[in-house]
Amino acid sequence: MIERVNRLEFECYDEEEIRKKLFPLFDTLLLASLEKKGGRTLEILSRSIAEIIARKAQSDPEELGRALQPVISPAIKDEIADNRDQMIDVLYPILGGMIARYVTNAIRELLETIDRKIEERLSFQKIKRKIKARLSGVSETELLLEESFTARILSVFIVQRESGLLIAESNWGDTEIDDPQMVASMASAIKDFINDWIRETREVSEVQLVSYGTSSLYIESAGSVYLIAFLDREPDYEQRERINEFFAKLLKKYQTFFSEFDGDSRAEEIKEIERTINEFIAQINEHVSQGEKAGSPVPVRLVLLILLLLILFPVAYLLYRDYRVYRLEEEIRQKTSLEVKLATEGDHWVVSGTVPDLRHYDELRSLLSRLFPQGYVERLNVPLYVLESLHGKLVDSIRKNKGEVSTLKEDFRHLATETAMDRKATQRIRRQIDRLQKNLDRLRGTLQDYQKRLRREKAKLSRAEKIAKIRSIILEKLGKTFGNDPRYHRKDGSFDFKNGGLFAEGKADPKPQSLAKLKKVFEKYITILLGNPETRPYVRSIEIDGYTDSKGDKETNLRLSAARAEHVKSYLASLPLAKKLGADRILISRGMGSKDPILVEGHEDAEASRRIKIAFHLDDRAILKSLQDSLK
Amino acid sequence: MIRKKILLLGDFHVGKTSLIRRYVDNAFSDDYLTTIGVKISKKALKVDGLDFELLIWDIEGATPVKKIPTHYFAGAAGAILVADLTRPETIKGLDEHALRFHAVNPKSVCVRAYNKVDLIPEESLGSIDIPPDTFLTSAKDDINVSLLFETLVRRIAP
Ligand SMILES: Nc1nc2c(ncn2[C@@H]2O[C@H](COP(=O)(O)OP(=O)(O)OP(=O)(O)O)[C@@H](O)[C@H]2O)c(=O)[nH]1
Ligand SMILES: [Mg+2]
Repeated sequence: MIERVNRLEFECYDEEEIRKKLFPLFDTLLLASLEKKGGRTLEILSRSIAEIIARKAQSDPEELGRALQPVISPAIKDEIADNRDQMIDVLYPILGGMIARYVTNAIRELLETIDRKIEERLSFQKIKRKIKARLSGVSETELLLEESFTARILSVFIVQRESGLLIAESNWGDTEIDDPQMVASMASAIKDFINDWIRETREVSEVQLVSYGTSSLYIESAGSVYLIAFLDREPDYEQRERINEFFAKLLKKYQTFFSEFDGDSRAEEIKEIERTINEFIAQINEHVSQGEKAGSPVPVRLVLLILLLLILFPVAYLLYRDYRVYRLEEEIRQKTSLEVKLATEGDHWVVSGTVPDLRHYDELRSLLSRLFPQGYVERLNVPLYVLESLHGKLVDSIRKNKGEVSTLKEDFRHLATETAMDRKATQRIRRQIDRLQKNLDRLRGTLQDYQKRLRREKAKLSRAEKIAKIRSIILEKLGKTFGNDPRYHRKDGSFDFKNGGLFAEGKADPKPQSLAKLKKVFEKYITILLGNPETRPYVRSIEIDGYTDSKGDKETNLRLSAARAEHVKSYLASLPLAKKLGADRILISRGMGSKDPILVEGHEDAEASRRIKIAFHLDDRAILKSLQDSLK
Repeated sequence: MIRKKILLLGDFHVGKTSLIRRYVDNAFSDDYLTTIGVKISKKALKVDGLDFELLIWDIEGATPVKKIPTHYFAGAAGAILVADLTRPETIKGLDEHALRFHAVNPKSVCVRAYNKVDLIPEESLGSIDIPPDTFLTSAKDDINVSLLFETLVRRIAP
């Protein structure tokens, strides 16, 4: 089996590829699991897994997939809905086999980075000893299923999937982790590292699987978070159920909070969540009798376990949540070569993405109406010209239909007057006319739709144009105010405060008498930028750059120029008008050294060189967002 | 306490690790130990009266044959794009790093560091175009390093 798996690995170094090959495998597995639903022992299952992998490696994978498709697709739907637990158990052995070989090396690499952070007295050798080599994950899974002791929950973590930031943490008694933040971050890093590793590694090393002794991690991956419970034994069914329920409850209540979590640990919700978790832990552990106390786990092991088990998650996660969506997206991609996104909202499907041209739009729509006969919501970006052309087509077809209806009507009248016509024929023709009339009405409805859409699009465009021009609006205003001042640069709207006599040689703090002049200029400047609601939201920063003359060494000059800019910045930020307009919050200072000295007839005017420059920068993102909003 | 994941991006050997080392431990070494995978450091700081804890991801640099894997970008609030002033091509490369980073994190912010300014002769500074949000830095001589990180945090701050 190992050999086969290896062979599979040789075929594809690319993660995408592996995923592609894995999914049909899951189908097969699921089938097996369905057939043997009664039996709990994974022995049987794993034997068929081996067999399937073997078959898989030899036969045409596509054909296999095709053959199984009709049986499996509906089965999967139910299976996912009903048996989340079982799914993990089924997946564990192959995932272990496929991925484990990469784990060992990756762990070694990563440990080198993290070992300073984990307990010093445990050397790498000792940790390595804890990683027992195993050739199959079966017994592990069996353990999970069949052993049933009463487990104690030691810790519960909630980790944000994407960033690896720890959202909340609760520990039982004196269990504690050195630096949970770092552990959480590293856990998410190692996951990425392994993903990458799978793509890169070419040599095949030993197949190993990590044994995790008596300790157990229970992980739920849901949307934006991992929920992790660390237990001192494998939990029994009842306990797993309870943890599941608890996680589901947390998720339901805090879903939005989790997905919008921005790292702020002061959030009220966190305390609340940690309290809830504490209560839950206490509740579970209450029933565990003292006598059954299991050996106390080492923090290092905990670190390792979290790392390892998180690795297994991306795939399981995909399977849980996105399997169906993935399949449908794949199908669409293969048939139309379009990358569209599918999502469900309430009980309907939402399709979003960008469609480049009419042909693809037609193709996609006909495919979608086949895939979703009950209908779907379309949020596709379609080029304006496509809408226009569809509109044109509709107008044509309405014209044609109209002609047809009137000819028919004419015929009908004709026939009706000829009394010889029998009822049946009359009815048939009348039905035909009705049908055509309905068709015509429908087309008219669609036409009105398109016309509305076109009008809306055009209105949006003109609104967007205004936002897009924000920069020239500002430059125009600044130009009007500073237009004739040689220190003002029309091109970029910066103001070079040279000849201001701001700084004495070598000094960082500006001369008080020169500041008054600077103040005037600055106040005008920020009034234009921030004094009106039209431009204000788009100004991201106002930059104060400090300069020196070119005497002295560069390093001193860089420092001096930064200090000059900093001094001027804090002076300007303290101005009441700056505060009123919020300029103080967007001021940025930089030291530019002796860059761009002021030359007069080939000689440097050192006093003029010692200066600051003011410039503004727009918030491209805010502009883009307004643009997008205006185009919505 | 507000925690944020930030990362340093750029080509290999531009000084990402050194900048972090300077900022976090206030130390510098001339040895070059290229980063493999990722190394995470932590730094607490106060900005505008708010407590921040940065989880700084030092990611292996891009080489001509290998781009930085985008997995690492997920969930980062901001990035410092680092170039080496003695290697102009590393400056040109920054836009691509920014693009790839923004594709993963559309809401994030970036600042740029033109590092190793200590190696540049003064005269040639004039010919260097320094775009907005870009700092001339030296991890070696501790020039503009904390300003670099603080500016990023200030721009991330809510
Ligand atoms: N003179 C000088 N040397 C620097 C500076 N910053 C870094 N170096 C040197 O440049 C070399 C590379 O620095 P690193 O910090 O390891 O570069 P890196 O970007 O982390 O490189 P990778 O991890 O390979 O991507 C080292 O020898 C550093 O000593 C600097 O500001 N000035
Ligand atoms: Mg490095």
